[in-house]
Amino acid sequence: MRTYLLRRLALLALVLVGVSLLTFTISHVIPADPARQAAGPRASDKQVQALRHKLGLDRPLPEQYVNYMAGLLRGDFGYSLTSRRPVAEDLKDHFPATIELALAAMLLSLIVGIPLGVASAVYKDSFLDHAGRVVCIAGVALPIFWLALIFQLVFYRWLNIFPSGMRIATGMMPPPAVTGLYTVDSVLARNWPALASSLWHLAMPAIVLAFASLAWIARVTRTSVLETLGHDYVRTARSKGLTERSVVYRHVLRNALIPTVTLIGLQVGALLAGVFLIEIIYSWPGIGFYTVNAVMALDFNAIMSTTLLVAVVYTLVNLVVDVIYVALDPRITYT
Amino acid sequence: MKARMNPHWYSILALVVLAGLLLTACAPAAAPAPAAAPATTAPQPTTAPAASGERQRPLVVLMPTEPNTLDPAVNYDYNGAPFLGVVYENLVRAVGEKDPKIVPGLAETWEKSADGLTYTFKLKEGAKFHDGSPVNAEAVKFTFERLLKLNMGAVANFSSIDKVEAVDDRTVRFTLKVPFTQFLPALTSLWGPGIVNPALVKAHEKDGDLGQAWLAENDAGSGPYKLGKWDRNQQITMERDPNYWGGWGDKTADTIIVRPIGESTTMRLMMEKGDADVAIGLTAEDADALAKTPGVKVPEYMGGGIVEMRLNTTKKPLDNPKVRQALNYSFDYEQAVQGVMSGHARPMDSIMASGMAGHYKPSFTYKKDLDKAKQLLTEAGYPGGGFTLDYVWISGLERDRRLGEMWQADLKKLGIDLNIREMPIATWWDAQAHPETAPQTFMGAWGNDYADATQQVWAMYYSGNWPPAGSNYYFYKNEEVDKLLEQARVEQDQAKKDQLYQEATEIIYTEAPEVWVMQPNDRIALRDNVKGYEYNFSYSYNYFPFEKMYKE
Amino acid sequence: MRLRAVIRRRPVILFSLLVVATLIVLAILGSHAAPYDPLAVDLRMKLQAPSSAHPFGTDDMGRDVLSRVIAGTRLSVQTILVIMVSSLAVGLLVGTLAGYFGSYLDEGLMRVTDIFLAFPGLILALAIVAALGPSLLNAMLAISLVWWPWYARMVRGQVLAVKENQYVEAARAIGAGHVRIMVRHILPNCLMPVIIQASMDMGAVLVTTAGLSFIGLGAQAPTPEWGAMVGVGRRYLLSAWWYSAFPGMAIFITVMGLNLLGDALQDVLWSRVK
Repeated sequence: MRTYLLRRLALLALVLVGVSLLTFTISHVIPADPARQAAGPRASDKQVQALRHKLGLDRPLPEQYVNYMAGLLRGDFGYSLTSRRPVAEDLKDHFPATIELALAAMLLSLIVGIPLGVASAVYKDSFLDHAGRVVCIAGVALPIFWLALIFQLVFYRWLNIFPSGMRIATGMMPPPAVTGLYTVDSVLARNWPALASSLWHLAMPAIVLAFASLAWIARVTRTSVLETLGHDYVRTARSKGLTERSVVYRHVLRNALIPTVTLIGLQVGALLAGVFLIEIIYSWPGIGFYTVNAVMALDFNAIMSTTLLVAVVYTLVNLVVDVIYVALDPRITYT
Repeated sequence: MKARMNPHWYSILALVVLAGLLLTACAPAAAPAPAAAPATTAPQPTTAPAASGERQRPLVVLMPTEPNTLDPAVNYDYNGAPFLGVVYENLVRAVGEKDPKIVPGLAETWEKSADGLTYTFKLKEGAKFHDGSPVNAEAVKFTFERLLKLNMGAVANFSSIDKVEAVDDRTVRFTLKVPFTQFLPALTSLWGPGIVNPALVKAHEKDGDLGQAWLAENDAGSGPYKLGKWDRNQQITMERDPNYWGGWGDKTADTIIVRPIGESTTMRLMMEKGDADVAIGLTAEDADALAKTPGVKVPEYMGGGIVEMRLNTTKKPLDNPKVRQALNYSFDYEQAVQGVMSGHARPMDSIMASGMAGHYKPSFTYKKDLDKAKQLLTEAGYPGGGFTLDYVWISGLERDRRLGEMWQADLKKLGIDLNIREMPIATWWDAQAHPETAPQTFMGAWGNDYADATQQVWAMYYSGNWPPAGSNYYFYKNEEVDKLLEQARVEQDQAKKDQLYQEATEIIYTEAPEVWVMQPNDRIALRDNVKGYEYNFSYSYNYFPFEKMYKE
Repeated sequence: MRLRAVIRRRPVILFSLLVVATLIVLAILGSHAAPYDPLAVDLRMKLQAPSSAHPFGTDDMGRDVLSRVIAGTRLSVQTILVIMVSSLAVGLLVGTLAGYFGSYLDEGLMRVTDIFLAFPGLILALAIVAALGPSLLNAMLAISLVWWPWYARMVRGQVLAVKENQYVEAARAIGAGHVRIMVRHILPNCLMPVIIQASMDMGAVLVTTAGLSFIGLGAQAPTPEWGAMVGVGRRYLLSAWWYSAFPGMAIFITVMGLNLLGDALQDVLWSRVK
């Protein structure tokens, strides 16, 4: 296990270097002149040239890459054109909001998806099974941005159940930032109205975001449980006279959930992608909102920094998932 | 084995259910919007002063984007106006829904020398910054010297300043390089002349940035409101300064919360439900819908901004004035106003916006006339058109996209192909910097920094103002016009000035370096219980006299 | 024969076949199948609710939404085909080379795929399109760049499995060259799982393209691409719900049909492979 971990970490470092190289390359393909952008539309050509020199943009590419990496390791992501602040500060402001949303969606899809998948498998071909599969098929096929719009229309406009976007009611002060997650911080500060308000604002975006994930998780869990249920040791357990419930919980679930665990890693990626679209529609001030606005303004430091950040998070999550997978399944050994 | 209905048919059912959901959700949309009681989910702010009920509730204002900096010497976009207008003060301000007048601000009197080169201001007694220190002549001197040194934002309007002197504690003297006649109106602008507290700015200076980094998010002003917390992309708060030197009336809003909501749809929803009190930057359709919603009113005012399609006069075939005139006769001004703006605009009758000082009318007006356009094209050597034009619109400005699509259809009838392209604003800046890379045609808008149309004329048609430093986006150059504008700028005699501008207007209109599309109206959405709003023609719909506004 | 058996088992296949058939027909016919010119502007008719004259209503420039949805079918089909073909081609090439030659080439190529796979798809595509400039072509290019690593991985796995087979050894023994071995012996046996996967991916590809266009980074005005229409229609959601609803519905139905078809194909073909 230890060698496996070490090897994975070494690979991780390599991949991250590659990721930074890729983002660096992309940000140098851009059509607009970054020096002109930084100088603004009214700067004269001479001013732009001076700025280009000051920013080191006229150095050879490899040298620029080294400076870029050095900056990254220092925590310097460059300067954002739209907010006129260091990108690192913008990221610090916006990232917690995205984490809160992604976590909520992940939790929701697990809490609803796994039981749904298990029940679907155990009560195969019942109404519950069919209903579950309907949700699955819809969830996978529905474009998430379209679903978000429909939800906004139905649940905010007509049914008045959920508020539209933003993280907390207007005028209410957010709780003092410990984690940056309004829900968690409200609990820590024992500010119950803030907790209620932030949960309520979190609900609709999280539900929409969870929809597709939930569908996948339920689907995979169902297949996996069905497969496991067919195994010999289950028949043995049943013939020993154990109750169905005991069979399911103690023998089946542990093995059946293994593929689901791997899926979680993939789903985090899908969630991160979906969160970009959701944040735009619900004006949720996370990095998705920030990045899409940065794309409109061609604010490349911002765009590439968030892309890099997302890749790092995704890679780390997958590493954790893989390790858990190995720990869970005694049959698997990784060289 | 009993036959079971195949589970996958339920997927079809899913579709039907979804469709049904859609239709039931949307059918009521055909009926008038529901009456929304102002059900704010906001509890009282924790800093509630011991005042009457009307003061306690925050005033929530929605706008499309937040500013990037609130430093009055650096900010140069409309998003800064709601803050700059009430956190900072100028020597003089402009007021009036139309026909603006200049009124005292921090200065109580002023005089101009006969040769127009010297302006002397006497400051009001007792004017104080938020921290209690007095607004004196030193502060004014510091502000303008800082503005000129930083050389950003709206500094071009003040380039005529030679020096600023603090004659005594309450007297400031400006000496100009040339007798620029619009110096006083320029001082009313929200961008640049906001007086800053020198002590605070100097205390927070870092690495020679003259305090920019600190002032971007902090407050060094003297106005009725103080800048509060800024949660990026969420909200910016302003608090009433109870010690404001100008005193307070009976009814005001204690707290202003400004939220940058990018989506017009979301803004509309929030207004309908009472989650917000004021909204600007809505699409025409959303504003129309809000106007019909009980509980919301959407007053409309003649705006001072214009929408124009700029032509790159250095690129063939746009270098031929007859072709440009033909384009002016090909545009459907009526449809632009009625179809795209739903009637909330007016066509233009000149090169500049109407309704303000400095407006002059040429001897004729362009109207859609395809026959005339065809004739002009033939005269220019392009019978039947036969060329392609690039049309660029800036990302996010849907109106400009629609204008382009509308024009494309008409140009087809003249045998001209329009290639519509979207450009993010940064790419456009880059392209616009040089005549070879600037787009052939692109739709843009212009708003004056202060209510005088001659500002626009100078910025746009003087050949010394070619990009990148200036706004002469057409790369227009006419030596006669140059001479006329140079003279008019410093001409003290009003009658002579009028004559010079009239001549210049005629020439420019005839040479048609652009297509003058329309002058949109300014619309603000307000809930019925918001009182005290007054539209200011000089500062347009982005400025709010918060000190006079309150909720009932 | 086999088809009938499959249909009997899962009648919903009829639905997906119907969807795919409609897609193909509309793609071939293009704008000719539409009742109105999808690009004809008439501002007086803007934002009309669905009626008998305009079953899907009109958009903000007065164009018939039904016609635009029909015209968009061809674009969607083209998009899917282009992306699938290019990513499959690159994936097959890289995967085969990596699996066949092994050692350093394999390690190197797999690290490259790791790097691409470290990004969630939409996000990398977003960054690439931002760099190249918004257009449908650039969106297709970006998505292809994001998709090929999956296929490369799959192919490599397949190649590794097939490589040790006896007939490959035999071919090598009689002196066949690398290329010949790869093309004639290895590749044909790897194709099946990859094609099955591709068929299941088609829906996802469409949704990703639509997502990019929705943000404004894909097809540009006035192209009648479904995702772009949902994106523009969002601004009129409350006054003109049909503008976003119908193109979105088109995406939904298409993806569902493609997914179900992919599922069925998987059923049919896997049993043959196994």
